[in-house]
Parts: sequence; structure tokens; C-alpha cells
Amino acid sequence: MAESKKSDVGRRISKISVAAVFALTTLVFLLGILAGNAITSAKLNQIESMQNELKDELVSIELEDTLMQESPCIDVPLLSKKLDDLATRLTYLENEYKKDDPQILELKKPYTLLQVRHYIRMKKTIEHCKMNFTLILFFYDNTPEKISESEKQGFILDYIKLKYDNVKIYSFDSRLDMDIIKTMMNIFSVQNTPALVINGKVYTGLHYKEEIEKLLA
Amino acid sequence: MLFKYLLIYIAVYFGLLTSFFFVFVLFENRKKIKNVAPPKKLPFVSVIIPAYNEGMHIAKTITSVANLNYPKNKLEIIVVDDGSIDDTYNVAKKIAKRFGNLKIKIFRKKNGGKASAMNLGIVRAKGEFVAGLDADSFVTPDALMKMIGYFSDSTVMSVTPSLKVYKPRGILRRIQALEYLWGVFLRKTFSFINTIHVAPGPFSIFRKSFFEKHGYFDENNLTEDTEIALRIQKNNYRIENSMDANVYTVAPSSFSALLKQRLRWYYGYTKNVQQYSELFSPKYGYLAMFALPTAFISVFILIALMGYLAWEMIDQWIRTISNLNAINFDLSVLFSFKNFEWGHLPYIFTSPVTVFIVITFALGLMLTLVAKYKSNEKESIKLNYLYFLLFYSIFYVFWWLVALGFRLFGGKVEWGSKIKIADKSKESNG
Repeated sequence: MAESKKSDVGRRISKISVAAVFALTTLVFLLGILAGNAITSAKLNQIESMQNELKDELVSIELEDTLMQESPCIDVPLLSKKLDDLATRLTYLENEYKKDDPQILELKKPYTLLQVRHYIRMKKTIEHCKMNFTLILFFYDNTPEKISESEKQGFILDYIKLKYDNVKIYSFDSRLDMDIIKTMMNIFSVQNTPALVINGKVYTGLHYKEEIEKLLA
Repeated sequence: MLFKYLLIYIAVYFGLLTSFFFVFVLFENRKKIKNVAPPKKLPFVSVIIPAYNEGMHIAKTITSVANLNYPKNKLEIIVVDDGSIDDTYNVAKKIAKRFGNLKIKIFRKKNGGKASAMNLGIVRAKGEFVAGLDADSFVTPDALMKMIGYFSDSTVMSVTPSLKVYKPRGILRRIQALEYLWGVFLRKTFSFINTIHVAPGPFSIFRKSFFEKHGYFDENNLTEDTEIALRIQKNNYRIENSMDANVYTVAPSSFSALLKQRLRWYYGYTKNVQQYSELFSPKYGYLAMFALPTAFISVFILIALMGYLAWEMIDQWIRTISNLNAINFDLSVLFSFKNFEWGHLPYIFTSPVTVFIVITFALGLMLTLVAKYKSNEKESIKLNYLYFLLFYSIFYVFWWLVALGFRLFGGKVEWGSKIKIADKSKESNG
């Protein structure tokens, strides 16, 4: 066991092995990215199909409108629940990607229309049936200067929604390129964002829990 | 957001690359995992036990060496008491009497550090081969027999064992137990491409002639076990590893002792690598092109990633606290779960990054299991793996930041309280 020649001490680099490792890594990496994209598009598709389902329900709302003239106090809890579900999913996606992601903005459009439709329907029901129910319109803005105020207002409104069963909140992205949003902002004279419309009155800027609760009382 | 994903993807690609490299090397050399059979004529081996204030453990350490399955006339134990102020010397003397059939030499010297104690032992050693064994570590009976065969290759200057944590109880020790188990896997893989760059204090065996020709342990080095390994590499020799020659060591159980140990390891490691920077030349093969660079790149990627995630988390906390403040911290409403949709869970937990987290988890588990079974580890590692996943990267980044801080800002790092030699440090990097 004496020390002698030093021929091969394992210094040779096998180019084939190194190339194989790089190839395998790149392959698994790309497969991972593909799988990731598949997950994303599955999520987007799910939202799209949910919206299509809701569009079908819009037709039934139209019919219900007609029926309402005979018995005006029909509630549409199913749509309300589905709208909430959709909103939550959109929020997750927004958090995961970017709030100004074109695909997400596109998904918001039909959701916005559904909200407006639901709002009109709820307003009528409340008036006809003299319900103790408050509808809040929330116009937010995700531009860098206003996002933090908007997010905080959104958080407070989520809290209000959880706390009070007789409050319904409709959130509108004021920067979304949709005529209906502009029209609504014009109707309620919303000049600045974030803004709340409670019982027909506009409240601009950030409003804390106590202020909103006072307005609800 | 883009920066975050870029950082994650770089980390993932790098992690996959190194993991696949290890798997590939192991697969290519799968027939060589078995130990080299010991020679018919067994050589004489001297086991040196440097000890400082190890009265508690030294009896068990000496006993474990005495119980080695190796001819007693081919084995000697050299205990070097490095100026202990406890009863280390007397305990060693007493134990020596118990093994009358075995040659046990006991020396006492002025305190000078572990390397100096080792050097005294090497000079006095009769063996063709010398093994160091920290006084708080224990060898399993067949360890030496499993390791000695590797020296039949004359280019092999050192053989390292499979180092494990003794009785890993408590979170910190369990995390270290898993880290050491990964070390078992890494060291074996490294040995196939001759890139081992640490010869751990507990039971690395050396060819004595190397010290005579290339000098003894560097007595001023913080991590003499890295220095000696790099010196062997520099002189173009081999360092081998036996994957199932199990050696157990007592790991630090307190956070501060562990930090002190890691500070010394990582600080010493960077110093030694700087000292041996010539090893980055392509003529050193995988050591230059893979093992040494990846050690540093992985540290920097991890620091960047953890730093960014920590910053993001703090930002998130600040926003959450500010939001909660806006609702007067009325948590009862938020946690009522009355509107919680369980159907949303898969939505929250699936993202493109999840795919990579799953791949990383699977690869990590695979490497751990290979190490566990190939090294005949009997202890369950489930809990260790859980703690490791949860906390290790945070600790690792923290230790490295402290060590790099000391390097950059000129802090002074010493071997424990300078005089402490056999602290809980067994090797110089993870």
C-alpha cells in the first residue's frame, strides 16, 4: 500500500455526461414550465366557463324581471353566491399574476356586466319589497398611485360584507375600458377614486370601518 | 414580480442541474458504491483522539475504537489531552487499563488547539495510516474494515466515513441529522469524481506519508479539516469515501453553539478556498468546474432568494397590519369562515411555482432515501425531514450571512474560546 504513481485521480470531465445532465435539466425545467402554464390556463378556462354559465342565468333574470311585476319579492340568492365565488377567484388570480394582466382585465368585463345586472335587479327588489338592505358601489383604481388606498378600502369592504348579511357590495375597476362603468360614474358624479356610493351618495377617498358602519345605520 | 419569478426560475434551474448531476454521477458509478475489500495483509492503523475537556464522552469514544473489528496487534489508540482542565486525562487512563490487550498511548500537552494535538499524535503514531477521532464521536465496529480497502489504490491519501448525528433529539439536532444524511450522499457522489474537499474530524483516515511529505495539519487554521483536504486535492491525490462506515458525533443542541460552529466552518471554508484558489483551474476537473463553484453559487442564490422572499413577507405583514388596523383588529369576523369556500383551496395552492416545489420536494426525498438505505440508517427520519424542510434554508442563509459579514467587516473568529479544541465541529461545510 505504498504511495506511487499518480496517473488517474478522476480529473477527467466527461463532456457527454455534462451535456446529458444539461439536456435532462432543461427538459424537466421546460416540462415544469409547461405544466405551470397548463395550470394557469386551466384556471382561466374555469373562470371563463363560470362566466358563460352566469350569462345563461342572465336570461333567466330577464324572465324573472317580467315575473316580478306579479310577485316582486323574489330573491336570486344563487346568482349572488356565484358572483361572490367569481370575485374571490378573480382576486386569487390577480394576486398570483399582475393586476393589469390583459387576460385578467378581459375576464373582469363580463363579471362587471353581471354585477351591474345584479345591482339593478337588487335595487328593484329592495324598493318593491321595502327590504332593509344596503347596496354599496365601490369604484377602485389599480394604478400605482392609488392601488394601496384601493386595496385597503377593498379589505375594509370585505370585512363589512362578512359582518353584515344585509349589505351587498359591487366593485368596479374604474380603469376598465367599459362604457357601462363610465356611465355609472357619470350618473353618480364620481370624479375621483377610490369612491363609494352608498344610498345614492358619493364618498370619495378612503373610508374606515366606523364611517361606513355609521352610514349603514 | 418579474424579478421574483426570474430569481425563482434561476434557483430552480440551478437546483435541478446540481441534483441531476449528483443523480447522474451516482447512477454512472452505481457498481462502485460497494466498499473496496480490505487487503489480505491488514496494515497498522493509529487512531488519534485529540481531547479538550471531554471527560464526559472520552470513555465512550475510546471504547468504540477498542471495539473496532480489526486485529488488535494492528491497531493503536493515541489519546492527546490538549491541556484539559477537567478529568479527561484520568478518565482516559482508567479506561486504557480496561483494554489491556490493546496499545493505548496517552499524552498530555499544553493547550494548543486541535490541529496541534493531532500533529503530536501523528508524530508519535506507529501506523502506516492515521485516523483522527474527535473525543465526542463514536465509530461503529466495522467502520475501519470498510474503509481500509480503499488505500490499496496508491493515489488515495484519505478515506472519509459516513458521518451521522448521535441520538438526534430536539429540533436543532434533527435538522442537523438530516443535513448530515445529505452529506453522506454528497460525499459518496463527490468521491466518484474526486471532489471531496472536507475530511471531517471524526474518523477520516490518512496515509501518514502524506503528512511527512506535504506537511502536518495547519495549526493556525480555523477549519483544518478543509485545509488538509484541499491540500490533498492540490497535490493531485484522491480522497475516497465509504458510505456505510458509520461514525456518530454529538451535534450542538443550542442555537448559539450551532451558530458558533457554523460561523467557524463557513468563515474558515471561505478563507481556505481563497488560499487554494489555484484549485479553480480546469486541470482539477470537476472540483474546479463543479464542486467548488456550485458551493458558492448555491449560497448566493439562496441568500438572494431568501432575502427577496423575506422582504416581500415583511411588506405583506406591514400591509396586513395596516389593513387590520383599519378594521380595529376585529379578527372574530375575519376568522368566522362562514363564507369560506373549501373549493377555492386548490385555486390558492396551485401556481406554476407549485410544480417546481413538488419536483424539488420529490428529488430531495429521493436523495435522502438513497442516503438512508445505502448507509444502513435504521432511525426514522420523517420528523427530521419535516423540520429540515421547514427551517434549514432559513438557518443556512442566516449562518452564511453572519460568516460573510465577519469576512467583509473583519470580525475575529476563533476556535470556540480559542482553547476549546474538540467542539462539536466535524466538518467544514454542509
